[in-house]
Amino acid sequence: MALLGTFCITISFILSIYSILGFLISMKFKAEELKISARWSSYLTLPIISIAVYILVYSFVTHDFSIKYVFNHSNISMEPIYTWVAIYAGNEGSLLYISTVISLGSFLTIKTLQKRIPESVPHITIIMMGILSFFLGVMLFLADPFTLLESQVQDGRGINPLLKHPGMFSHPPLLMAGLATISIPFSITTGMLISGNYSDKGTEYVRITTLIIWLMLGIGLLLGSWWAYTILGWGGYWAWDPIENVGLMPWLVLTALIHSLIVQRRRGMFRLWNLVLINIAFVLSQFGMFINRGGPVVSVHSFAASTLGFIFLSFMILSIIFPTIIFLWKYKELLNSRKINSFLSKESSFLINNFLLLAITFVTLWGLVFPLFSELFGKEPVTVGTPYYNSVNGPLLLILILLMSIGPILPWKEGNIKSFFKNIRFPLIIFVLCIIISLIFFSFNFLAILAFSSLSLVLATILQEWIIGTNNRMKRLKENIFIGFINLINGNRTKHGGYIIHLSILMLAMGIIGMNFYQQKADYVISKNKLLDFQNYQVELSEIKTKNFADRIERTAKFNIYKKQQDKSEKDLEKITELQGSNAIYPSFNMASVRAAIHSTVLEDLYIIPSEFIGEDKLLIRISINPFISWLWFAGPIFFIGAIFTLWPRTEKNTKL
Amino acid sequence: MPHLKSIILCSIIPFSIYCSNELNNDENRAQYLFENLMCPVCDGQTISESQAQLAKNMRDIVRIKIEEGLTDDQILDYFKSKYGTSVLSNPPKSGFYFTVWLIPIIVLPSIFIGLIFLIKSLINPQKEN
Repeated sequence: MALLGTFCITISFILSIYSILGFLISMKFKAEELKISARWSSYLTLPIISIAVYILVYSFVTHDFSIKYVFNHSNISMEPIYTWVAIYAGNEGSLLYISTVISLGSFLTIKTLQKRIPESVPHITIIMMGILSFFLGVMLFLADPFTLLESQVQDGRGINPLLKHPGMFSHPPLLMAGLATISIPFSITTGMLISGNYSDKGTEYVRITTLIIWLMLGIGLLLGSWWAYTILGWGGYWAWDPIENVGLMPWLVLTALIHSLIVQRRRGMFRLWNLVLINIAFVLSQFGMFINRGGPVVSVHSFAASTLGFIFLSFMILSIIFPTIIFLWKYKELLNSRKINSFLSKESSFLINNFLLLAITFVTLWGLVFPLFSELFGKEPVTVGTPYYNSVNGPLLLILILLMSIGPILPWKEGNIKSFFKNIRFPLIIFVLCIIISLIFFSFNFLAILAFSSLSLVLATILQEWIIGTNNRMKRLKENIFIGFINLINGNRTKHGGYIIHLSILMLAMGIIGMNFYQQKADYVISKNKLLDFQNYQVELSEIKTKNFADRIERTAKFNIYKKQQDKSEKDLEKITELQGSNAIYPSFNMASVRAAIHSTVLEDLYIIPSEFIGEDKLLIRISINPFISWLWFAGPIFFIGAIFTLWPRTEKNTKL
Repeated sequence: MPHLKSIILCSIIPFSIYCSNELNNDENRAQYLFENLMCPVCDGQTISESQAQLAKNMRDIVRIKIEEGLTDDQILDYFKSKYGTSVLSNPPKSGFYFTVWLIPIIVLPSIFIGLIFLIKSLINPQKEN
């Protein structure tokens, strides 16, 4: 079986190389039939690599420990459902997964583009197959998932316990797929550029793929946060860890790209700029692969660490050089004479948006590479952690949010001051009102108030647009409020889908601001059946249980949560809920997996981490109040809905461009 | 008056701004210091997050030092002399390490000003006619 797996990888590798050579030769000698054969061989990589995936799944399910990868990432007691996770749990398997995703993406892209822009397909396919053959080649020569184990064994090492979480079924595959498929819009634009047919049809497809990739990365990142929050027992949702950062940076660049693609679509401007953004996103995705696989920085995500750092570094450098050469060679074709008309226009606001997003990316990248940079200068090793990122990125994010309120109400081409003030009048009033109200009634942390009030400013501009739009429809077309609203947002899905996504960003910001400014945490030693006062709660440790499993020692703590009494004389405690947290130690992995006890409400989470069990009836806990954190998780579905809404194909009826 | 609705809706957010009583000072300081010290044996975790034994010991030391009356800087310096600069979760704001802060502070505003000029130069000259 293992031999067949290696064989499949070999065949797909040969097919992808054949496809490249076939297209090159066919273009040179104008051989149409060879072109068709080359295209089909690129299609064929998909079914053949799927067989390899099937063989790996089969080996996991049948516990074929003669395969090294299966031995390293599963054992007999592993539930079959974790096979899905085990596939990408290590370096070799994740390469196979990435190759499959690229192969699938190439298949769909080439098939679609063959109908729309057949003249550029050879160039696009060559680049895609080049990228695919790199990953297949690395697997084949350096990291074959089907390598056999030298000695015979009865049982495997088991799956990494940290991966046993629902979030792990989707977080790593989404992120890996997102990072890997950035190669698709990159191949399309670069391919079109080389072929000299930089068409709008192709760009529309680039827009769609970019949105899908952006959605995958966004949801993937959010699921990762959720995982960190619930299982890692960090008490946090984002740690600015290098690997988190390399996932975030391409997402930020794609966010910039999505915005400036709107300008390209609408006004035919920024074509050159968008190409640059796609190239940057691609380079950053390759940088991510490099950092993740034997990169030189320390991270909690060392799952795919390998000795392949050098190979991926070389590929990354190639992915900088190649597009740069193409760009310098061909960029003149994309120049156009359209100019921006005014500062007060959507065009300039999109440019500033792009600047801010790239600035955040740059600052993050700088923090990430600074430790290497300082070692290069012969300085002591140094860490760049959360405080740096927060203090540098915080203000940039705040300006970005303020821009979110201004951008949407600016018109295309040229706005005038008068109508701008007319549109922003009410949101501004609300903004000022918010500041005043919070200053009077609530806290005096001015930064926090400013941040929260900016959110209301953005919300007000979106709602204003929706309310006035619906109102107009109700008056003009005599529609009722519900139908009117639906028709309004259906009329321009790109725009209103964008607003829905903006809403989800507001929710995200809400959680982030709340956590940054108002989180309260403390460590306590808590004894059984004694009450601990913490903020508005009283916590009682009711039970400690120790259980021995084959692979782990798991200790569980149960808590009763009561509402804090205002009146001390009251005898009865008002019970809110019962919670359970656990701390499992996996001796064979030398790893602990902590599940926090979380009582979640709209306003705040009560979050308890059982850090250390002291004897049978004492426990050291880290307890915290996490304000608005659940808004982060609510934002996910809204983000998803908004993105899908934007992506939903236009029907013939409402096509207007 | 459609705007009235939006006013009401938007006001919900600041109303929900959260206000809570401050914890006692020492505990706040301890938590702050935990977040500013890296666990030397873990990959990229602060001692606040880490479950490693060393991190636990370091947390205890932080508490003891606070009780002894040391300032935050003194405590951070103590750990720095013991484990090296990389134990701090932030590079020191002095000497060579200051460049990590300097670059964003200098580079970003200058690019931004450059961008403003770029937009200005891009603005269609026809407009002025």
